Amino acid sequence: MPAPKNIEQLVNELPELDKRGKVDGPTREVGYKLFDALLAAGGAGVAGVVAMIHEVDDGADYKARYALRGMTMRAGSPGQGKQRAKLAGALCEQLGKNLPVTTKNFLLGELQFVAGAESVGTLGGALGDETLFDRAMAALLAIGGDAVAAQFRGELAGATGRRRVAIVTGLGELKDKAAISELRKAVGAGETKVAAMCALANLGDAGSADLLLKAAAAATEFERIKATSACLLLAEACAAAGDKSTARRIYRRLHDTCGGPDEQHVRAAAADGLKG
Amino acid sequence: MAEKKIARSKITRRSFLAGAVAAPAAFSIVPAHVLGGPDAPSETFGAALIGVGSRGPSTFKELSSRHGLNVRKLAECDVRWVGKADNKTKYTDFRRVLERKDIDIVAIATPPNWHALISIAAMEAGKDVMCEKPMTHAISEGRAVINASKRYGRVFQIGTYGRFGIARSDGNRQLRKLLRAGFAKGREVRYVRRGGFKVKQWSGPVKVAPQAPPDWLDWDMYCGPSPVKPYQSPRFGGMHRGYWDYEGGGLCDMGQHALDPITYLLGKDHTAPVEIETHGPPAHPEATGMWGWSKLKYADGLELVLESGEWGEPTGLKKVMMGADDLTEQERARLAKLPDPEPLIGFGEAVKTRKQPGGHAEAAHRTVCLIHLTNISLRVGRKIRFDPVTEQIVGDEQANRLVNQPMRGPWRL
Repeated sequence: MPAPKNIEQLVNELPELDKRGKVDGPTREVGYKLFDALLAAGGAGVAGVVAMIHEVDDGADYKARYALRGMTMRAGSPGQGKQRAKLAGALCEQLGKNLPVTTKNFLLGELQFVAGAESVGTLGGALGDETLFDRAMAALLAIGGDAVAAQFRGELAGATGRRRVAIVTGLGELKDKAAISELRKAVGAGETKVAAMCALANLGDAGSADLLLKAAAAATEFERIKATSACLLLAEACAAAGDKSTARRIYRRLHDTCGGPDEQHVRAAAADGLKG
Repeated sequence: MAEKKIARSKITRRSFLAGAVAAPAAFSIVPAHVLGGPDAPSETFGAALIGVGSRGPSTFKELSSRHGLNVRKLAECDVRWVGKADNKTKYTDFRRVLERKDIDIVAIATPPNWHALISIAAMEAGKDVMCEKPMTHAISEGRAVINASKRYGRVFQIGTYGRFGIARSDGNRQLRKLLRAGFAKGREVRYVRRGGFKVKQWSGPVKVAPQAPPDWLDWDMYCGPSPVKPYQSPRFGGMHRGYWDYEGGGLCDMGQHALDPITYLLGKDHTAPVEIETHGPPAHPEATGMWGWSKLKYADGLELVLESGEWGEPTGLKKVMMGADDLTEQERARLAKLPDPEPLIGFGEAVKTRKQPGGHAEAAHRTVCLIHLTNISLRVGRKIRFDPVTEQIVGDEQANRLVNQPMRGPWRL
């Protein structure tokens, strides 16, 4: 659907690219006036700008992309809660339309900076789409919180390959205690082993100490580097949480087992931990 | 004598350690002098270069030319070697390089979106790191690099050396001591840095047709933790500086050079500004663009002003410095009791003595934060307030989303 005339006119007020195809920009004052006018047009304004975005980003539609970014930053200013939610809602609505994947990914990139709790359901829905997964993940991680973690948990069962690893990683970043049981299982699966170990370390899950130590002992090459790192991180997290006993157990095991010339730095870190 | 030298040159630090651990060694790090004294010219370090593009070879060469290390290049890694890598000396995946037990030092000259991840993984693997500037792509990455350096006792040096020159002057060291002690509080102290940021040069072109990536390039690995976008030729090979996905414009390219000596001089390489305002046009979502000036104010009132000289009107602000003569008698007495700044040591000496070099991770992080904060203020288009302790922006959630930018899975800090 073409953009309404007034929206198109507003967007086209933005200056042309310079002769090298670079953005020289309007002044902030001029830009803000324009972006605010587009925001004031509500859902129709957003739809109008989105309609001007082409499938291929070759610069021909630069004004529309630039305008939408301006709207995102204006609506996300502190104290603009209603405006922010309104823009996020309008962008989520556009995600449901029959738009090119490239356009949807661009919109997800904007949602990363403007979406809040109200958008979690829509963004979670995009996790199942391989072509939208990465940008939806980024937007959800930017929002954070329990509702996002629940979306990740819901997606974990059906996800495979790189998507599964990314979700495991995301659950660790969100420190999602409800995922501990699934994460422990994921330590046993080859593709998610290291990601799950890091996630459990991030969670500071003392109950996973033996599992992580055992997994690290069995790991080789780069996987071993990351696995021992996860063990050290877990020990630090346990110590910081006051669980000195678990921390010392991890440090002791690493100190005693990382004796090779290429792991002296791990042994030294463990020795430092034992002193602390 | 000649025979002895040859024999030593065959020993890398790791091969020595391999023999040493057969005995019940109580040490965790073998000082280099064990191999024949700190000046032993024949002590050889196994080294690798990750990111072999235009800057990479010079970065690697500096290990010997600038830092006086006797290095043997054992591996090189670059994402542009698809079909050419032999996984013996040429690699496309840095993880395979870091697995090697004969490598002591890693020089990193990839685009900055990779700097933190590779630096951390290298230190986890027990390597010392020489990393090109800018240190990081986002603020949250810096703390993770610092923690890895501390956790594993690894040496980290940023690839810029302005502070070493500044620190040679006794007057500069005294000024650092004075300002670091907080004597700027209640006084007008301002440092103005004009020009040299290559803003226009490294603004990203927007009008570029996407195309299929070259078959010699691992585009997915190149993008790494950043979103994978359709390949556009300027996104790779130098002009990548002009895209937020990989760097942050001319300020990111030149800023760490320009600001490294300044954060040393102003005694601000342990903290960060609390208020940042950048003046420029609204930022584009993909390509970096123009800016005019940035004002960065520290908690003690000291102001750092950056002017690009390439956009808009200058601030008209002048540099205002202070010295010991401006202090009261009481303040001078207090200053006299404080320790003088410690001499800076270079990367080579740091590797051999296991001390941290002048451009260590914390100093590099605090310097690159000035760049990131300026860019964040530009990108959100407003003044921001920053907490130097939590390293979070205060009262502006949207701006905070640029402090800690989610990485594309499976990559994570």
